[in-house]
Amino acid sequence: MTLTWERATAGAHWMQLYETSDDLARSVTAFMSEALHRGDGTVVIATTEHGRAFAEALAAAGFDVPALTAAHRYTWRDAAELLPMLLVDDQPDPGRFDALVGRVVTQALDASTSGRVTAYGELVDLLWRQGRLDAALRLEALWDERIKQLPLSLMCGYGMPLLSPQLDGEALTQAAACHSHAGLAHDRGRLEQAVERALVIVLGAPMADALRPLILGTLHPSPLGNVERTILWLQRNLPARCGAVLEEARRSYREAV
Amino acid sequence: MTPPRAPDPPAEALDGLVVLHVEDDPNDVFFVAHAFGKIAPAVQLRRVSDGEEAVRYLRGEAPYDDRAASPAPMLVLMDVKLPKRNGLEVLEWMRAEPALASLPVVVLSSSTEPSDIARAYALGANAYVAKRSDLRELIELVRGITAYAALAATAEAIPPRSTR
Repeated sequence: MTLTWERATAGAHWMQLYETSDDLARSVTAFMSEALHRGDGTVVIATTEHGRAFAEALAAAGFDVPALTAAHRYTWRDAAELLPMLLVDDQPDPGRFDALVGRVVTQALDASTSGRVTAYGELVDLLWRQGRLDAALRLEALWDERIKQLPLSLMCGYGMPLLSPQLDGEALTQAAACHSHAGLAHDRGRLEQAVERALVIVLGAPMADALRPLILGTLHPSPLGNVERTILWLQRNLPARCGAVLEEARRSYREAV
Repeated sequence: MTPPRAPDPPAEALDGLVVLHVEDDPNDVFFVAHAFGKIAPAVQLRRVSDGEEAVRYLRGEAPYDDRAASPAPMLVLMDVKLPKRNGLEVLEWMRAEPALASLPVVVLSSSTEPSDIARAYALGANAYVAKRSDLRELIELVRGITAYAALAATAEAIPPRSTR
């Protein structure tokens, strides 16, 4: 599903896949700009590098970030610093999550003029990058409890090179299934064209045409879009060809930049 | 570098392909057979109507012990809600059988519940598709299934391991 912020209603839990920090900054800034214009309290739990990039981009978009921060309308927490404090026995602890994240979210809600909170988080991304999928899924579940209790919409960033042979499709599927929506920080149209073109080159047009209804008709227990699902389908069902398709798609995607 | 091409059009690669359709609803049986007849008449479509029959067919047990009359399938197209042994139980059994662990299985179900879908994948389904009421859509879907079966038969496909 294409990410359209107007549809980021309270209760939405977005998975945002990204490959580069620049792509991510564009997406998060758009997400937060919409929320701030609406009067939401906003919370960003991101690495120092990303937090700075988002604040700079918001400032460039005309937001007075220091004033918003002072008014608790915009709160940044360092994800790398926060994460170890959330964990007990290597797993996210509900009590600590309440104390460290829940309170910040509540404070942002109190400061909002819209009666809503919009949050961006990459704690799960840090766990994901460490290969700790189980802990990431537990953390997603804790966020979900908050989303059920509060007028909160949440975007979770997941750094993931979709066109990489190293993509862990099973883990992506499990993580995506925790979310109500999925977006791509990539240029979705260009990515779709690149994958489509790669399919035709690698499989031949007749085979690609014939497979398409099955690939796109295959149901998935997650909100991932067509291009992500196509990649996962190939990885699962045609692994011998998937690498060549991804390689061709990567080349085509870069060429189109 | 130009990547290698896959085999050419499915129409040329379908001779001798065997698909086992496991379905108890006579209407669905009719529509699927119609779609295969339209798209891929060269495909040998075999049908059994419950989960236990499916297991017998796949094992090559009587009355399916004559492999000339009941050839081993290259792909199984299976409903979930089946008498005697449901489709997911059959799938689970297949994935535990070394000879069948890598046989492509496309689940064709009327359920679109995420939990059913997730369960089917966890048990090792290759694809999970919803039953179609539109014949044109069904024909397109069967076109895709035959293309996939053709690729699978040429060892292009390695079905997934169960992630349970």
